[in-house]
Amino acid sequence: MSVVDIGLLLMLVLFLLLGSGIWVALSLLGVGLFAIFSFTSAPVGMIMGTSAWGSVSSWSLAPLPLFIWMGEILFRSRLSEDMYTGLAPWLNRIPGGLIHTNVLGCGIFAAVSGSSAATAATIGRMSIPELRKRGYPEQIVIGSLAGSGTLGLLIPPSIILIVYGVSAQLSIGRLFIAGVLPGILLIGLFMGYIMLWALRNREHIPPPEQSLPILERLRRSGRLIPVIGLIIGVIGSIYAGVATPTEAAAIGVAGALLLSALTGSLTWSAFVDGLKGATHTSCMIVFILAGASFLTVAMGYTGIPRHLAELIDALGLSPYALIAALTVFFVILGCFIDGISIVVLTASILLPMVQQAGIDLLWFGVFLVLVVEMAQITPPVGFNLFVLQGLTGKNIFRVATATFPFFLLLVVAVIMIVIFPGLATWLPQQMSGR
Amino acid sequence: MMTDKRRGTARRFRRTSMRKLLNGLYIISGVLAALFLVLIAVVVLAQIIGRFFGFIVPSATEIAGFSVATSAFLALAPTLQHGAHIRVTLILEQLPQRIHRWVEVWCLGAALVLSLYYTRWVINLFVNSMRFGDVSPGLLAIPLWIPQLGMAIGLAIFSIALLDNLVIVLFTNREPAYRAGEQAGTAEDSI
Repeated sequence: MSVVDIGLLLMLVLFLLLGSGIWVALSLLGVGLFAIFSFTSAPVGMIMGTSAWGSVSSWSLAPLPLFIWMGEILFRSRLSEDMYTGLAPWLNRIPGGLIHTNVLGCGIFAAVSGSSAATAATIGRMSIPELRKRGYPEQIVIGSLAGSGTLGLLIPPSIILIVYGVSAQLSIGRLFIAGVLPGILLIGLFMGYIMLWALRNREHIPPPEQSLPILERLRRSGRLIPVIGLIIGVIGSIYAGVATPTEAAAIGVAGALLLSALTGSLTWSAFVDGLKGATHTSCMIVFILAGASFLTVAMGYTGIPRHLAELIDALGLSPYALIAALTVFFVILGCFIDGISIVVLTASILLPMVQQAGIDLLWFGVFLVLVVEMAQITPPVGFNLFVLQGLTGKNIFRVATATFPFFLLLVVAVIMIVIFPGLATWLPQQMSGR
Repeated sequence: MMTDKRRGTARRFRRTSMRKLLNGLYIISGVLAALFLVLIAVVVLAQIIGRFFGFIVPSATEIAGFSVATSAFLALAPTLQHGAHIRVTLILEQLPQRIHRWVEVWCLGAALVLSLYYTRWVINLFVNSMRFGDVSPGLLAIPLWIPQLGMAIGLAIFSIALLDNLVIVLFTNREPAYRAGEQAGTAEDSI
């Protein structure tokens, strides 16, 4: 059997296990086992034990559960209400009006939460009923929310960037900072699109409400100050190099607890629920990482990643062609499997190839996250679509059509970071030494 | 001599007490997992505070790292019960009830085999660490078998939970415990 045949066979086994409904982490283990048993004579059990231990007992993973916990605490706080009342008075007058609360709200919440679905859910809980009440068209409300929710993945802290950083052995801090400018770019694209849409569909947009006097506006936005403080504390300390991502995450947890205690939303049951949710989510992700690290070792034994890298080298494919091919591949894959699986599979199998093609791994992380964002909003498996379905009661394909323009905007963002790679790499280069 | 009725009651009693025992087991490992998660935050915060006041928390890095592993593995079973481990249910959802059940049996069976194999080798890891007296780097020199034991216990309880669900799907008409959470979208909400 040639390496190519083995690769295809393993891919078949993987899709069989995943597709039949075996849990992702165990499917990865299963494929790894199958690969080592069938094609090598390596001591499979020993490898399994050591890879499990090596991958999960590491300091670099520590920010993961902490950032998840922070998001869970804030998800249960009054932040959702405060965000809406704080942002709405300022956005009244610009074209598209209050729809922009979705984009900006998600952008701000993304800076304290690492999850895309939680971002969409937190902001949508408040903004959907408010926008509906004022008669904004459902289509654009749903689309902008599902689209902006994906900012949770890109704007630090980002769970998926931690997963990538741990798998690819990159600095989490630098990865986080690399996500900042592309995140802002996306916010700009989304808001620009909403303005254009509003100008072309004037008759569907309710007239702006009475503007509030500036002092009243400031008073209402005052509630956002603690959140902004938290963002500066977390992202700022990483950027300035005064804290490692783990330390920033621990400070974030303390800050989130303090913030929800001060606003009176930290009941015992909210605390327990948040902790429980965080425990489950981080368990799910760490288990997948453990499975993926075993798969990485197993793949190393089969020589497939190396072979793929050589193949790319022999083909003389340009990085642009490779990126284009990968984008299409990931978007198709993203219709069926979730973002975390895409990231860990990429790290196990494709990274040597990407490196061989001369692509910067930091940049590739940002690219990967953008593509995973697309996966979050493509049917039939798009987690943000499920969230919006739950919030609005519309069926998934209606939600998906409403979201489609925002999918295209993500494509634009990918094209832009390909043309201007500095968008992702410039800011991390300016970071202080740590 | 027991009457039929009394025998039935006895069986039901055994069944419910078994149920309680298993649920209790999942809850205990879940609570421990949550405590280890809190420990990560506490250790890291203590280290930060220590930096300002000039004391050091010995082996903070190692303790935090080990707690990540211990927390995650102890949480395996409760996370399963809660329906928060992700899997692709796209095809599964389309299947008619009868076939669905057998595919579920396949999933649980395969998962159980994989999990048992995994457990066996993590136990092996633990035994070796104990035999050779492996310790962590850093000030405290924590024996590695301690966190590895936590992982092994978590995986063992996970295997029990998989078996538990397999028995439910095979011998009763009830749905496995994780279906409720899956349908409510618990797993999706977290990414």
